[in-house]
Amino acid sequence: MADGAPRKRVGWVRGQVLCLVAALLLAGCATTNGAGGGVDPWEPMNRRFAVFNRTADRYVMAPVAHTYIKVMPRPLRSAFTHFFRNVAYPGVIVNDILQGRLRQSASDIGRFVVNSTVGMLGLFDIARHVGLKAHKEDMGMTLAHWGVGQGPYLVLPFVGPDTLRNTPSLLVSVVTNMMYYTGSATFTAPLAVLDVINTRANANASLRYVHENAVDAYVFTRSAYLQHRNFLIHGGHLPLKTIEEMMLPPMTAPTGPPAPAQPVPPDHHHTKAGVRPSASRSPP
Amino acid sequence: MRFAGSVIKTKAAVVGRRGVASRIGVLVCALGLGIGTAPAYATSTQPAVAVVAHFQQTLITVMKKAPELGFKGRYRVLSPAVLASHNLKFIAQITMGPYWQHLSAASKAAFVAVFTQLTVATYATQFDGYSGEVFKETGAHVLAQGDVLVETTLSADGQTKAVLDYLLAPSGSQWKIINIVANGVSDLALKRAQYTEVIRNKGFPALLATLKKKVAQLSRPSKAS
Repeated sequence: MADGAPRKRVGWVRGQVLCLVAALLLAGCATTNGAGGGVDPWEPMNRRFAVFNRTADRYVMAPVAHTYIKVMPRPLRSAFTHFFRNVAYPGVIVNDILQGRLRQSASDIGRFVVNSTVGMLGLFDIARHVGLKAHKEDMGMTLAHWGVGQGPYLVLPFVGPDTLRNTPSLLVSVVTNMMYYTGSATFTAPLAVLDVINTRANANASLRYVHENAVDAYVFTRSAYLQHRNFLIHGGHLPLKTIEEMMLPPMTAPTGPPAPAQPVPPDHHHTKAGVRPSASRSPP
Repeated sequence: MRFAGSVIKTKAAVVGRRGVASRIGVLVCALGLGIGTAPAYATSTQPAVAVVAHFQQTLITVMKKAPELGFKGRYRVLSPAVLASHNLKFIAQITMGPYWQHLSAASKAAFVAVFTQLTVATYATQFDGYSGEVFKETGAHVLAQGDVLVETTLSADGQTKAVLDYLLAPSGSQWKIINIVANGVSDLALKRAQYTEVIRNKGFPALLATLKKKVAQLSRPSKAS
């Protein structure tokens, strides 16, 4: 019975993942290049969840994270970060293999073994010092590698920005996390809470940057998240063509009612969409 | 507004139809606008690389002296460096998307002025300390339009903290930065997505007011130490 329970759980999760992947393959096909090319067809719902997340963060997570940063010495926080990354690292290895990155998977297996043993269960990132650098792979990136479309942008309660393609990661990251197999909630529950708090504390600088610099936090987060995911999917090296195209962000004509203070010019649909103005091209 | 042959490129040509027809279309478009000058294709990446290297060296200098300079000191040192290395007027124009051409000359000038302040203030806020950071050039390429891409990394403690790609275009007699892509996130696209959204929903005066507020927030003593 003790052995059967984890197997049942794995079987259930596997079923859920397969269902999600199947739904995603259909949804991805349907939405990737949908009408208007909009990446955020569910924006009204997403904005509500974004407000919910910001409120929850402001009144619960941020105070907890700030207290945590104050009371927990930096080396300890760093050790926890290494530990949680290490117990989740089999997820990277699984996705390495699913993407056919065998050499990278061998390196990542080595990294996991070194850090789990010499690195004292991952508390110390020893592998980095022997040339086994960390990689970022997840189920969303694997699905992208397989050609599944991004699908709509999502904001999930308590999770944050996401895409439909990436949602299986929520399940896969659980079953590939070593804590899932300890079988004892009294052990894993406090660790999971610590993981959440530590992750939020690590995100402090990024969230502060958004708060200080974003003119529209929702649009900022969506644009940055989707661009960064694309960067990760390309292994941290965007193709030159993609970077070049970034010089010409989508010039879709504004939609929706014009703002009272700045009526949309009547000929805005006839602007020279896509024409990049000169940055002064005289030879240097 | 001047349009030069080397930068005339329809969106269709960029994102989709890359065939001969689209190239001919671009040529016809350029000729139709009466632009006969030869494109200023980069023949060497070295001048553009030098601009980035000099700017990054200024950033390192400011980071090392950050506490003694304070926000105002960092702003004072960075302001000429940013103006010399970035084509801020061009960047400001692009971030406004299709709305730019409908602004009055006074509105354009006001926007460029506050955009410049915000850019320098953001640098002065973000580069507020030094922990052994090192910039390193990892490559440079001439792109199809003649622009130059300079690839760099920002590392500390032997670990890459950020991948920073700079796009530079000729501006007068100099090469100037027209976009920065940090870990895959284009600064230009990020700003443009927000600014056009604010204009669409609230109008240009609201955007201008918001940007001024951001500059004031970044310059506050609590943030500016």
